[in-house]
Amino acid sequence: MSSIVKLESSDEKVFEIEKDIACMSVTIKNMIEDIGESDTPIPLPNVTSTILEKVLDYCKHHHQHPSPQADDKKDEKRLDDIPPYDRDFCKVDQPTLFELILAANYLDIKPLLDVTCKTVANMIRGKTPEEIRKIFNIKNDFTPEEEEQIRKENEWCEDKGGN
Amino acid sequence: MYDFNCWVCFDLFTDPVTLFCQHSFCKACLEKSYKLEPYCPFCKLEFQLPLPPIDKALNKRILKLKGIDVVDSDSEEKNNGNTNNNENNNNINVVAQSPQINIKKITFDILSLPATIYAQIFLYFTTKEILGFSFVSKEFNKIINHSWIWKAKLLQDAQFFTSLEKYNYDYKKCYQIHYKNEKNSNKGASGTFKMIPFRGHTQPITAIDHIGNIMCTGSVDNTVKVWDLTAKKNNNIFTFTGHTDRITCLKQRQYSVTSGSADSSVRINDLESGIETNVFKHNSGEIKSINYNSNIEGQLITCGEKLLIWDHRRSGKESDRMLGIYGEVISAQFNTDGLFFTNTVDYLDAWDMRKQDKPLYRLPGVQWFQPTKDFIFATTASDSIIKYDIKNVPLIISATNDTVAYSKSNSVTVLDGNLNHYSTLSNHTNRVNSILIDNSKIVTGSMDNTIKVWDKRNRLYSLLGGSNMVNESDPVPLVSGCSNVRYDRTRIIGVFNHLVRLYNFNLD
Repeated sequence: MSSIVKLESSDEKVFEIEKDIACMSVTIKNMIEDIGESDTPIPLPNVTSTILEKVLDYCKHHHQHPSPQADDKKDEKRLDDIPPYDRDFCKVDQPTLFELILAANYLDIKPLLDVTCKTVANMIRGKTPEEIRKIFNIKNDFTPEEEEQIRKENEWCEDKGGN
Repeated sequence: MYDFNCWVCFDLFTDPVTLFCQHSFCKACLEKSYKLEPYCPFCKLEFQLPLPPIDKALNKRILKLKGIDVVDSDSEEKNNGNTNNNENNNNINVVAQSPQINIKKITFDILSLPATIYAQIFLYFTTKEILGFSFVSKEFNKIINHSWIWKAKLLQDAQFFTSLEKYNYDYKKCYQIHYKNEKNSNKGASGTFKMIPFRGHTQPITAIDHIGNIMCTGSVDNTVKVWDLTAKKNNNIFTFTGHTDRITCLKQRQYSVTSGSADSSVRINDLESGIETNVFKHNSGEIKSINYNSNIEGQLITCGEKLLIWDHRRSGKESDRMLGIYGEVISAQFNTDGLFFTNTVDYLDAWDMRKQDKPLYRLPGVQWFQPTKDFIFATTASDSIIKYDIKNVPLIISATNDTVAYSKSNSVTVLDGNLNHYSTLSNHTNRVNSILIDNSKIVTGSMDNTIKVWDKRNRLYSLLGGSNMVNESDPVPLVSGCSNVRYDRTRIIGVFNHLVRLYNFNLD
C-alpha cells in the first residue's frame, strides 16, 4: 500500500489519493520529488474540483486495469482504437471535454491527453465546415470573397490533373 | 502559485505567451530576453521569432486572478448546469470543503486551447483535411495556420527537411514545399523536375556516395571528385588526385571522404578544407571495399586480399588485429546494428567486432548480399535467393526488412519479406545494373540508358539518361547505360559512364 498524497483544486477542495495513482501525472510526480512528501496539500490552481475528480477517476481506473503496453508504432495514427472505458469517459459535454484536455495537458497525463485529443479529432473527422460550425456553435464570419481567397491559398494541396 | 508567475520578471503574467516547450512568459519579457539569447529562459530550448500568439486560455486565468471579470464571447449560462452534481465520488475522499465561492465560470471551447493541443489533434488528419477545416470561421482558420501544427506535421512526415532557415522558419511554408516535392517525385512527369549533369571525370565513374547536398564520386581516371548538388554552376568543389590507379570504392562521412583504389591505398580527404588527412597503405592488391564501424568511432575496415582494421584518426599504421578470414574478401558490409559481414568465395561470415578471433557464424559464400537489421538476403551462383534470419542463425539485390528486389537480366523481381513473389517489373529493354529500394519506391538503373521509378507493382515513370551515341572524347564505359543509382526523397542521381545526372524534384 503506497502512501497518500493530498491534492488541492483551484476551488480549494482537497482530495486524498494513493501516491502511485497521483504519480500517473508527471507534473504531480515531479512536484512530489521536488518538495518531498508532506502533509500539505499540493495546490493545482489550474484544475477545478469537478475536473480533478474526473481525472482522478480516470487515473484510478487505469491504475487498476493497466492497459497492455501499446506497440510503439509511431507512424500509425489511429482514431478507432479507443478502449470502451475511455470512450465512455469522454462522453461529456464540450466545455468539460476541453477542460479535461487542459487538465491532462497541465498535469501531464499522456494517455488521458491522447484519448481526449482523439475524441475531439473524431468529432470533426469527415465533417464539412458547416457541420463543424454546428457542432461547436461557431458562426461563419467569412465573406464569399474571403472564402475564395482561402481556397486560393490552399490550392497547393489539390491534385491538379491527377495521375 | 508559481504557475502564474513569469520566470523573467517573477510577476503575474502580462500578455502571457507559451513557448513550444510549454513554458510561459510575459510577451514583453520574452522579447527582451530574445535579444540576449534565443532560448527559453527556463529550459533553454531554442525558439524563433515571431512569438506565438498570446495564450488565450492562460490569459483568461490571469485576468480572473487579477480580479478582472472575463466574460466569454459565448454565453456562459448554458454551462452552469453541469457542475457539482457528481455525488458518486467513489474512493476519492473530499476532505475539506471550503464554502462555495461564486466565481463566474470560464467556459472552454474548441477555440481556446493551447497550440500544442491543436498540433496533437490535427496530427490525426491529412493535409487536405486540415486545410478543409479552414473554412469554418476566421478564428478557426487562424488556428489551422498556426505554425506549431505545421511544425508537428513536418516533424512527423519530413524529419529530413533541411531548408528551414531558407524559409525563415515559416513551418507552414516549409510543409508546403515538402508536400510539393513529395508530389513531384511521385509523378516524374516533365516539368516536375530539373536535370543537372555533373561533368568532370574523364573516365568511367566506379564509386559514388552522397550525404545531404554533397556528393563524392570516384573514377577510373584515378581521381575523387566532390560535388555540390545545389550549385547552379561550378558544382565541382574539389578534385582529389592522390591515388595512382583507378578508384574502386569510396565512403562519404559528414566531413570526410575515404577512397580505396587499385593502387592498394586508402586515402582520407577532408571535405571542408580539401586537404588529404590520412593515407593507409594496404600492400595487398586492390581495395575492394571500405566500411566504417558505426559502433567504434573512427574504426575503418578495408578489404583487399587481406581484411584490415584501421583507426581513422591515427596515421597509416594498420592494426595488429585482423579477422580470422582465409581467402580474398569479395565484399563486406555492416548492418544497422553494427554486425559486420564478410563474403569470400567460400564463406559468408558474421562478426561481432568486439570478438574478432572467431566469426559469430559462418554461412556458405554468396554472390551478392544485403544485410538488413534482422535478415541477410543473398543471391547465389545457382540463381536463387536466400534469406537468413540474423537473430536465429543465421545477381544485384536491394532489400528493406519487408521488401526485396533483385534483378535478372532485364527484369526486376519483387518479393515480400517472406520471399513470396510479389511482382515482376519488366519494362527495361536491357540489363538492369542497379537497384535501390525503400518502403515506397524502387529505383532501377539499366543499360538501356534509363532510370525507372516504380512502386511495388507498377512503373511510375522513366527518366531518360542520354543516348548510346559516343563522342570521340568520351572514355570507353565499363558498364554501358546507367551503371549506378542513388536517391533520396527529392532527388534521383544516376551514373552514366563518366558523368552523373541529378534529377532534382525540388523546383523551389
